[in-house]
Amino acid sequence: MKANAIILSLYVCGAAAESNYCDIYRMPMSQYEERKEATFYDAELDIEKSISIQPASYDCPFAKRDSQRRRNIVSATYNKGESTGDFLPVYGNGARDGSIAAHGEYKLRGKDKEQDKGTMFGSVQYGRGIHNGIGWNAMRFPELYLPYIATDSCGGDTKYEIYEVVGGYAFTVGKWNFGIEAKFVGEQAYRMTDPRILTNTSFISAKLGMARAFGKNVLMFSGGYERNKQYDKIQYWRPAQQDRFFIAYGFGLYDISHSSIAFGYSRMYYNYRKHFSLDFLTDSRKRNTMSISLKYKGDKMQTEESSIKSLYKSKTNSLNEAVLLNSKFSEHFSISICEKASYTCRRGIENIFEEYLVDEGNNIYDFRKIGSEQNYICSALNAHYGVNLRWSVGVFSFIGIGGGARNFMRREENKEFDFLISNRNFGVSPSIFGGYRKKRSEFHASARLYRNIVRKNSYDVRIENTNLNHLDFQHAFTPYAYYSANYNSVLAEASYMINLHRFSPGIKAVTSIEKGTREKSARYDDSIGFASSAPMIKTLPDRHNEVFSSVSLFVRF
Amino acid sequence: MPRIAFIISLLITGHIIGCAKSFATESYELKGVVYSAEDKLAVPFAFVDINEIGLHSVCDNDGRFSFPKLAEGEYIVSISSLGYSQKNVSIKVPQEHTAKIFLNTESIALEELQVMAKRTAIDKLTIDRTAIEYIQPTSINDVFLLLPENLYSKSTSGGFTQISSRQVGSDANSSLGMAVSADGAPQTNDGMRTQLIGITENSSDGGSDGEVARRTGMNKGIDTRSISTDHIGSIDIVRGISSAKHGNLSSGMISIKSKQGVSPLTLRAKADLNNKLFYIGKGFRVGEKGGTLHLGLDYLHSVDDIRDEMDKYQRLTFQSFYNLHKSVGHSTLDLSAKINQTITLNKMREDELTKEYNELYEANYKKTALTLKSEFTFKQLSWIDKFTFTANQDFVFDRITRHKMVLSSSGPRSMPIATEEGEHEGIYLPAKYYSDYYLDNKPFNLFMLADAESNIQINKRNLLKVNYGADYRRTKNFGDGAVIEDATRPPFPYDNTYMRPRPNYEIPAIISGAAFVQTEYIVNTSEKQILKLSPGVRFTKMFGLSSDYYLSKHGMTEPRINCSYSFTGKARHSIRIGYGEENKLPTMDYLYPEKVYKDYYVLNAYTNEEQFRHLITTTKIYETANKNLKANKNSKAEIGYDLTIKDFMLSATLFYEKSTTGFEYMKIYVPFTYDRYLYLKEGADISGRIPQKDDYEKVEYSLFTTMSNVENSKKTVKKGVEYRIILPKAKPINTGVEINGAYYHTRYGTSLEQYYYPDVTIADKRYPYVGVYDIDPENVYCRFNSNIWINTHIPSYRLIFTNFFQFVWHNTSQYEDRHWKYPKEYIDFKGARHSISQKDIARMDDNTDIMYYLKKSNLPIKYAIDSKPISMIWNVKATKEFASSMVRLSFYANKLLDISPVYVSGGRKTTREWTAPDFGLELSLNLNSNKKR
Repeated sequence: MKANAIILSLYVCGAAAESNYCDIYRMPMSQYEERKEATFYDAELDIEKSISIQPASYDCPFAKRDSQRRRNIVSATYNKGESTGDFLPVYGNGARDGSIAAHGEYKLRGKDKEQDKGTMFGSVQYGRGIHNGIGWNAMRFPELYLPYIATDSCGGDTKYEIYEVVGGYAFTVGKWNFGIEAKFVGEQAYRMTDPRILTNTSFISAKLGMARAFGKNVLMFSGGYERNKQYDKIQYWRPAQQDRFFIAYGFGLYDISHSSIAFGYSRMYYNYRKHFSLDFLTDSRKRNTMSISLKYKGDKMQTEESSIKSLYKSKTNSLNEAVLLNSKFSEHFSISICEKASYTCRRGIENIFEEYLVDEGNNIYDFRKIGSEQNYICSALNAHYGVNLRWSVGVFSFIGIGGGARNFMRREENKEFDFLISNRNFGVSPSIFGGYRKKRSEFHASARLYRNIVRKNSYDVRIENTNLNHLDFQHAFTPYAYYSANYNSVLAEASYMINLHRFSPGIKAVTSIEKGTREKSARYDDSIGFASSAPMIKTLPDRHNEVFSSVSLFVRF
Repeated sequence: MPRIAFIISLLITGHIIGCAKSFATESYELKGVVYSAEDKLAVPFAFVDINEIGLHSVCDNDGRFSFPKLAEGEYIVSISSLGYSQKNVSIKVPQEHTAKIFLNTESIALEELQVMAKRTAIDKLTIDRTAIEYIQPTSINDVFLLLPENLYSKSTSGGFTQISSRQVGSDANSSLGMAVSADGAPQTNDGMRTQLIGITENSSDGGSDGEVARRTGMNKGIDTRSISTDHIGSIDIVRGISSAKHGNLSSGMISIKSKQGVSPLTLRAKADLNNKLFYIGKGFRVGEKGGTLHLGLDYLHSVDDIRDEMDKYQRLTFQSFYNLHKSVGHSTLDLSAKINQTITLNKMREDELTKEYNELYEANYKKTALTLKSEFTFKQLSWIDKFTFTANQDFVFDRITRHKMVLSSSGPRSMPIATEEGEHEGIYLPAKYYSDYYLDNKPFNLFMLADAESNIQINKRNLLKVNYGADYRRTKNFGDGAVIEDATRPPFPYDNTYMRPRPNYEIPAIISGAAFVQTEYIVNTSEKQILKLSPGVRFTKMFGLSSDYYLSKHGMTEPRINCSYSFTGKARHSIRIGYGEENKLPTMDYLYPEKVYKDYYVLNAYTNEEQFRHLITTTKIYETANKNLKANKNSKAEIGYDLTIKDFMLSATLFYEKSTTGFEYMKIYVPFTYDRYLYLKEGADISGRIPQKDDYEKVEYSLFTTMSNVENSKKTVKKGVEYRIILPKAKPINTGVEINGAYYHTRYGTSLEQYYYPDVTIADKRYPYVGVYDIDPENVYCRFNSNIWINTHIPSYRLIFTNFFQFVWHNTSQYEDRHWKYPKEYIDFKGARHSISQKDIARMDDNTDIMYYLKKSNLPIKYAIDSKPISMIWNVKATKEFASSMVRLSFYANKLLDISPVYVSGGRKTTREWTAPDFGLELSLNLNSNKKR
């Protein structure tokens, strides 16, 4: 992966709508929401989210980008997404979810009502939904643990319930703002068909932040630590039914001695993350403004079998940077330019164990670690560049156009077997948006197009040992095929909010349609190891269609 | 010791009562009125307590209360009412004016808010409404986390959960012996009876319906899942020696006080991984002088394992509580009436597997309870202060319906259908069929209690309180019992045991009566020293049993005595000591087990051609009822010390409990010899016809058959130390710390001899001996834990944040016995018992001898200690109040972080205990302010 592969092109940012506020504090609940954000990059929303994760920003008046004084929101959202043809089996081919989210900020005053004692803030979200058609993956949040996933060969629909709570406190000492934040996300997911999966996933994180205003320019820094734990249980409900459960380690390889035929299995995953973020914002009331964001995440993941063996580990480093420049050329015309790039690299480590006799009298064996290997490497780059032009038409109304480009690259390799998979895509996205903002109400609508073009792809996975069935089609070819598609996508958003005396109710609707086909060269000509009824893509080039729609009702107060 | 304690109790009780009156001295009345601080209106039916001397009263409709007979002095009066923060005020007697007490509306904004259990009397912990709300419970089980010894466990409702008391783990007898009383009326399910092979505990080895057994808590006490905490105002928990007023218990006492009085409209919604709960409730006045009525409705949907459609549990409860206070001359009358309706439903919903199997499991439980209580308070009678009559009746409809697929992996099974002893023709069952049955219980429980209180102020420093009365309990089951729709399609055809269940309505009612005297003699030797001596005695007798039952002729006397001495200098010290005996009576299921029908194959001629099959069995009927069954007696002793220095408190209790008469279905072996037709005679041709006995050689066949009898054999010995340390609140960080925990050493064993039958066949004959062993097998558990509660309460932010750390410092388990490999006796096929001689031992050591099989050798690893390393879990809980106490949002995450190190278990395998967090949210709304009540 080379950084100079980033291609500059035009990009149009959607103008920030106040109704975006309901997306800032709500976590996405499906791959469709996450992909929509990755494909149709919204620089304003991205900067708002970046500020919101800086705990010190809550007590820093210059860190606010949203002009609304109502900082509390309660929202209810329903999402639905569906794929036809190619899809990523580890995530499934459909999703439906509903959630309720709330965010609040509370200025603390002393007994004399004048003394500023800081700001308390918090968010809460409860959601539930279903991810349909998951194949060859028995776990949740696979992006954290890939390629070290455990799986059955049946697949199916996974229902889930998710809770998120964030609480923090920001305060000011002299010219410095400080903030602390704690966050908990917990999910329980389950499958009601055999073999029945039950996963319990939790994320707990703590963060410290500080901010310093230089004039009305703000520099913010935060650092934190997150622990993730996932407990997977999978069992056959049907009496006496057994099947093979695979302990995979990439490119369709799996640990043969641990991929046993059993009534069920259980596994634990741990991921420890340290993360830092740096944001710089210039005075938002000036004609020219700038926002810079730089983020780093370092993950250490390890798996644990029910025998307490830690078979696999991985280390992942992610770097994310974003720049947004806004300039008001005149009373009626403004331009914004944005750039964002995120780079991720993961290295996998496989541990080697041996069994040994600890008690001859009772014939008891135990195990010990005797070595480790580093063979797996995966890296990805996602970059956006864009320009956004905006005209005010009348006192309260505006329209705009824009254009952007996206460069996406992904590379997966295994050093031991010289396996290599690579995808390189390029995309352009023109857009148009408009709306009005009056005292009593505001309306915003936008339409964006995206054209994805496959630049170069390669799939070099040849399993030498043909005596064993391998899962390279299921685990290696499917993501390669998914990212080897030329497609067009359109995203339409509309939101409306009324400002009443005490609160502002609103509605936001989003829909996106994606249509395309897989590259002709992206075909799998070998026979599939472990043919099963699990949801899966076709070996030959197929459609690449997706539909996603979302509606949110919200109240700001 | 028990006899001495009984005599001492009786002597002290009698002497004190006899002598006290002659010394009676001048007394004064303490009067007060309770108001709401918010609107200055009276608060009706607030509870008023003087804990130090154990006096209790309730306000009338206008918030007035009084204690008519107090000696001169200063008293700490504690006032609590639903929706208000508890207040303690000091009042001097005699008073110049009636005391006016203003209660603050409960809010996190109040400095004095307490969210932990409170110690109110001798080893009694009180968990009030604030603490209950803060725990965010689903059922009463969740509340037990506030007890020092309890380890955190996930809130589940899919299966029956045993209540444990001062022990490592849990056992059926301790759970059965834990009395649960609601507003003075005991809750019981002793009248439940489920006698069906595969379901009840006296099923012999073979198949059982785990789906049913796991969900029903037969003979394990109250199903706490069915008790909603939303109707509860406060809970008192006594694990030590209970008052003599309370009986039919052996482990401890959970006393529930319902929500009552006036309260705002409250809505509560809770969601966590296993439970979804909704509650609505309100208390209001019924006219100006008509008392108050509190109504509440709660719905719970719960599931243990969300993947299992059979785990879905739903509960709907409704409660109405009516109070009325009337003045009748110089006396007052407090009337209360409570109706509680509980409906629970465990119903299998359709999923992939249930659809394919076409099975059904449905458990419907409906309980309607009516509790009436009238309490006369006499202000001018010197010999009696209070007379209370409590009556409770509840009727339960409990039916489990099952449509079960029976699948034989080894082909068709044979099935005896005889109902009388002797030889009968049998049938062969298909390899796959459906069995339909239902278990029907309709117990009607009646409880009546009449008791009186006499408080005699002997002089300024001596107070005598006497509580005496009698109760009557009757339980009759009107249900059909176990009913199999088609006797030829049994649900559990896996062995030769079969019952022909009797309907439950044919079983006589269980009736018991008891009389008790409980005294409390309080001596204030000076302002700073208090001595409390509380002897009591209870006598219980069962009625309605046939005369051949031991319990029909013998009553039980239970002496109980508690004593405490407190003295105050710079610090306040209290020393407590107590001894008591408690008896739990057997349940209807234990008293009336079904006869066991054992069917033995005489001729089992199975051929592939169905018309030529022939099955003949001989049936033998065994009586399994144990007429010598006694109550399970638990003897308890404890000693405790409490230290209070300002806001610092230390409390430690050392206890010892021993029960050797716990109920248990114990496996026994009975020999049986009969004629069997096993081998075809030489030259016999049975092709094309039904084989007959004559076609076979007759052999005399002997075997040992097994069955389970109820015995008083379970042994449980509990000892340990419980401690509680409350540190003063660190005001700069608004944080209070409580450390509590316990060291428990628990032995579970059996007090009777053990039987062992080597399941071997020698020369086509069954092994001829059963060994009888006196090895005293025990499973010994030790655990030492500390629970650290760090409560950060910031009233100005209306926020409470709790960090709960649970450390298990020491956790071991070990199997122990006398390490003796040889039986003390053996039984032969004639039923004769033979003592073991040295010669027999020599034969058992010879591996070629037939007696070798009676030698029981355990590998050393069986005795290995399984010692777990130090483990820790961290739970967090946060509650934030919004909109001036109107909205409360709570969040909790348990096992958020844990330390469960890898260790080498007793089995010498590297292992680790995995934990997964559980979490949830709760929203509660108080929709109207106190002004509008």
